[in-house]
Amino acid sequence: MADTIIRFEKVSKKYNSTPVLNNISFTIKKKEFITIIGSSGCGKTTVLKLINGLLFPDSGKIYVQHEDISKVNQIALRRKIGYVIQGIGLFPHMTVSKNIAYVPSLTHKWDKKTEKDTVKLLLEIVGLEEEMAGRYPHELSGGQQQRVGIARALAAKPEILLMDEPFGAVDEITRRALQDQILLIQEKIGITVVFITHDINEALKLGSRVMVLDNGGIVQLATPQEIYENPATDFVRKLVGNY
Amino acid sequence: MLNSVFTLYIERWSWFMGLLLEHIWICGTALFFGSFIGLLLGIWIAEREYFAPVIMGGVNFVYTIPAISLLGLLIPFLGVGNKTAIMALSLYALLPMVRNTYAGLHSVDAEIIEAARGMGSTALQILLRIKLPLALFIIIAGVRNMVVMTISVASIASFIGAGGLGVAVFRGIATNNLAMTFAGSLMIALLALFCELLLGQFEKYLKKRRRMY
Ligand SMILES: Nc1ncnc2c1ncn2[C@@H]1O[C@H](COP(=O)(O)OP(=O)(O)OP(=O)(O)O)[C@@H](O)[C@H]1O
Ligand SMILES: [Mg+2]
Repeated sequence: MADTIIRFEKVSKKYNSTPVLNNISFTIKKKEFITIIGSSGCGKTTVLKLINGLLFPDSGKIYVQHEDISKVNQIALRRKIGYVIQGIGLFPHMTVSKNIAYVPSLTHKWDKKTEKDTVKLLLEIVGLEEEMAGRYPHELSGGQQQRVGIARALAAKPEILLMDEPFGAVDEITRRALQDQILLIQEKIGITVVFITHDINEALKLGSRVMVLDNGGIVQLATPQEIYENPATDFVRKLVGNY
Repeated sequence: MLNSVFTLYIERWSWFMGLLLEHIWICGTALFFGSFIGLLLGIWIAEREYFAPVIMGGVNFVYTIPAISLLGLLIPFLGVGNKTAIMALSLYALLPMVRNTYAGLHSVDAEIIEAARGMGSTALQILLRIKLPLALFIIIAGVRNMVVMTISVASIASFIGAGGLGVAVFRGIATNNLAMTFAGSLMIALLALFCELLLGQFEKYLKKRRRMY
């Protein structure tokens, strides 16, 4: 399929001897917004780190843009995939502006003006004031930090954006605002998003398809409507039960 | 007493200035080598954990050798004089530098490093742009420690024929001239204090730039 962007083929992963993922296969198409949900410790982060090569599968193959990622340059692979880690991970010694410019600066030097203009644009995209550019991460609120994390992940114009519970530690109102923002961004720049959450409402609201993980496998990968109307297992039924 | 010290300073001003400059030169050279090699060793063992016990054990061991013994032990190789002093001081300077560089690099949040790695940084980029800047203040603490120690230990080096302010102290002791001993010691203490203040200001400036209050 020409519009496939990420493909897992019978991927298994264990830590030491504890199996986490058993033989999972799935395909993600360009411009999809995939949300991944499951209990804590079920392997969501593991799936994400397999995509950008921070982890290697014990067996099976992973393709990103039709290339077997075990055969490509890992550094180059990661540079074209935006990554928002669980817990944001902004660099505390860099200003917002330098944080955002980090990935592009790994490959080439930006002149002051390009940096300023691009940072301004990205701040606007994630809904932050331009004057935030000179601040340090510790001078921002939790929600603002998460927005900067997203801007940083978008800076190198990636085609894929991986987000690991990006809206974890904020209040409900801020969380809603951030959810609307990410939907808007995705629509505007047509990026493929893989988004982890442990909140079923968030998974159903954001995902064009939702992937439910349980017991080391994918128990359902379907549109929110299907998940809601035809839960595949008891686990999924319980999950959507309180929707 | 204080009067006779001041008389000494005035009468032998150029002699004291010469000793002071020599003291600074000996310490500066030792600090340069000690911090440079210490930094490299610290980085190396932080990145290659396997060698950490050997290197840390080695520099710790050197540190426990009394200054006077270390100086004596080096004489057969480098003779008496400044060379031996610089060598001994450089060896002492290694410990605070290696230890703090190693500890500093280890103190960096694993999550931050993973973020940098996940965004496609090479190992060198992570070291230079993330780890070292974040370890900076722990490394600076090591430098301060090292500088003060080096300035005071350097005085003992006069015992094996090196120059510096220790010469005044030893002459005072040998000729039973308390004012002379005091005059030398005071200058050593003031030099150490001055360097400490200077580094403190530098650290403050860096913290201010990152707005860490
Ligand atoms: N480096 C590791 N070494 C050993 N076990 C690990 C390691 N990383 C993760 N695990 C284990 O693998 C399992 C899956 O971890 P993972 O981080 O993928 O879970 P998760 O679904 O993201 O959980 P959460 O929602 O709490 O973030 C967990 O049981 C975890 O304890
Ligand atoms: Mg996780």
